[in-house]
Amino acid sequence: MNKKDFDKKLKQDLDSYQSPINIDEIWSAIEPDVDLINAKKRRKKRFFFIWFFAGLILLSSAGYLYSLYQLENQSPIAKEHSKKEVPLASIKKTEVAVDAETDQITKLSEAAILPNTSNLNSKKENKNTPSLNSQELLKQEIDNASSNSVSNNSNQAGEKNIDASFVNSSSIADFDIKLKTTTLSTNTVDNSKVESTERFNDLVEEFKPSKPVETSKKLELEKTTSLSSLDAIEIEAQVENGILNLEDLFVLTEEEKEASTKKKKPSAKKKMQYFIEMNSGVSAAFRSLKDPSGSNANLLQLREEFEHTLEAVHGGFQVGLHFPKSDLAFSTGIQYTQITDYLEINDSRSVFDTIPDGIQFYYRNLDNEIIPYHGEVINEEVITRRKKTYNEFVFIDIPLLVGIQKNVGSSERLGLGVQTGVFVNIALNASGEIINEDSEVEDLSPSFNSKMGVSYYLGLTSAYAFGENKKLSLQLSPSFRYIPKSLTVDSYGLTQKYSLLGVNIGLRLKL
Amino acid sequence: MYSEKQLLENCKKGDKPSQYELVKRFSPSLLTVCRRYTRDDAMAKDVLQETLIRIFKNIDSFQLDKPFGPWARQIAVRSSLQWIQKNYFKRESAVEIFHTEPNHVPEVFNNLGTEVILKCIQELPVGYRTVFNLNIIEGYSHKEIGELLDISEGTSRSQLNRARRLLQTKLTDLQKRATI
Repeated sequence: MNKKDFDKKLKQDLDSYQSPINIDEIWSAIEPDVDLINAKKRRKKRFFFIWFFAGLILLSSAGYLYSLYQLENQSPIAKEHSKKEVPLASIKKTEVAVDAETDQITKLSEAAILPNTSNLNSKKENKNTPSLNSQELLKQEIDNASSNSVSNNSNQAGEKNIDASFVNSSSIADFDIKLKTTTLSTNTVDNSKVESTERFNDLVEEFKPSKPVETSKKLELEKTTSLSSLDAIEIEAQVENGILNLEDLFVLTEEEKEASTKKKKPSAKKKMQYFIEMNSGVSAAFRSLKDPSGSNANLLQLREEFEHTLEAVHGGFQVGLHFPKSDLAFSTGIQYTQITDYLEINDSRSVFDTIPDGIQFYYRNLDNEIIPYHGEVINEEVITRRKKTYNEFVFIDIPLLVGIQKNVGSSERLGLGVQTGVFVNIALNASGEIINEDSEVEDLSPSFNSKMGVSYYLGLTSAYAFGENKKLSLQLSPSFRYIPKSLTVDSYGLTQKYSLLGVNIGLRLKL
Repeated sequence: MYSEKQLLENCKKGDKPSQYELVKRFSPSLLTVCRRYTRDDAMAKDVLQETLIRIFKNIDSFQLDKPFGPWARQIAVRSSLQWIQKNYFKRESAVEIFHTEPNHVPEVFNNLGTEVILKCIQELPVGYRTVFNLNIIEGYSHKEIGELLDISEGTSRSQLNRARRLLQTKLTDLQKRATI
């Protein structure tokens, strides 16, 4: 056999050779490490899900905030165009208080004018056609109004009248200010004041401005009105850009007025409001392990020594009712809570075994023979244990909560409040391992309940509402939950209770 | 009975019975690898335990479309080498100018079992044994062995020749004894 064949044969034989081995012996030696590896994997997986959902919430919140930010930064015109709908440009008559310089228009009484949708649309189509001179336009409007006031019934005539002072406006600035004045009205139309053309003409004379109104006055005028300045800006911008013209400003019929009033009523005036909420959060878990009988001190000590509490994660879906008048809210839903502990053993212990008739030593006799000396031999065996197991207590609960939340600040977007109630447990699943009285590791599930009673909840709530209608809000709630009943079965020597202190983050949508 | 792929998939998920099954299936061959690198079976078992733990730690990185055996074996070899580096001082002998050896090797395999040959390999000095295993069984080149063990290429060649010579002597002796 040459050298190459020798190597080849050797390789073949050794490659395929299966050494005899006691599998159970090897397995028992590596099992603690395998458990540790598996536990780490599970933990990694768990944290992946926690971070995934937290990230998802954060991303969606950030995305929503960004879209709101973009919308806020759009010009009113672009905003209107983006909405793809015709704004309700309610231009009503007012009794606006203006200082001495603009005194002529302080008592301007009426002209409820609203853009007619069909006219507005047709106007949009003709946007590119040159607009009429403002003063000519105003005269035309007043002429129309005057003639209408004669031909139509008194109510309609009154409504169709527009600000008389437009007639003799000496500049475009005057026109602007009067348009705003009419735009920013809050009072209802007093038709009796303009029942006739004569009365109308009187008003024209009465409110005729003596000189152009300064820009600063325009601003003041805006401030003195109770409607938001946004409406005024919208109207002005549309007039300036030819989207809306005075021809578009038409009278509301009674039905339209009614519909408009209904539309303008804020939703807060509703008696009650439904909402849905999704939330999730993390809490620090505090475990209370006690020995009520006093006879399991050893077990208590072992468990305290080898087990440690980690954290709790929770998330849920809730539906609720909010009463805006009292700021009270009631909610219920379904809540998932998982408390995690871990058992970690890393110790060495000596086990002494006495052999009654073991060989203690050898001696040589006179015949030079080696003779064993028998006697009691103490054999010491050192046992090293390494183990880490994550114990999970999963609760499925129905929350029954009541809360009160008040709006803070002028924007009414920020709300602060308090929430309290109970969580009714419908299922509890405990999995993992605990140490027993003999310092051995055992499955914990037989020692734990499958259902719990109630737990108590107290939380502070802070909310920030988004959007023009403030229907969606981001909720941030520091919370405390106390689980008064022991998770362990009555026959188990120790009681195991938890308190959770953490924070919830959620999104609430008013329906 | 799971197929190898199913078994490995389950092991990746951390399924304990599958992990036990994997240990059962692959431990005998992996122990052979470990025994070739260590002096006795007790040490080999220690290295095997280390190997198995490493396999479970790194099983997520194993691609299921590839054969598991060579991958696990490579881990066993690396574990064995690390164990050797931990437990022995490295001694670099001078490069030996060796004579050309006769190409004839006594016919020993017909009469000796693999277990006996394995015992003979275990009895080789650690340096010889390691180079012999890496070159003859695992197929590493002397350059690779040099880089792996941080020795020169010449040392690797010299160690291999000495190992082969010593092993042949041992096997021949055993053959003679068996014949008697």
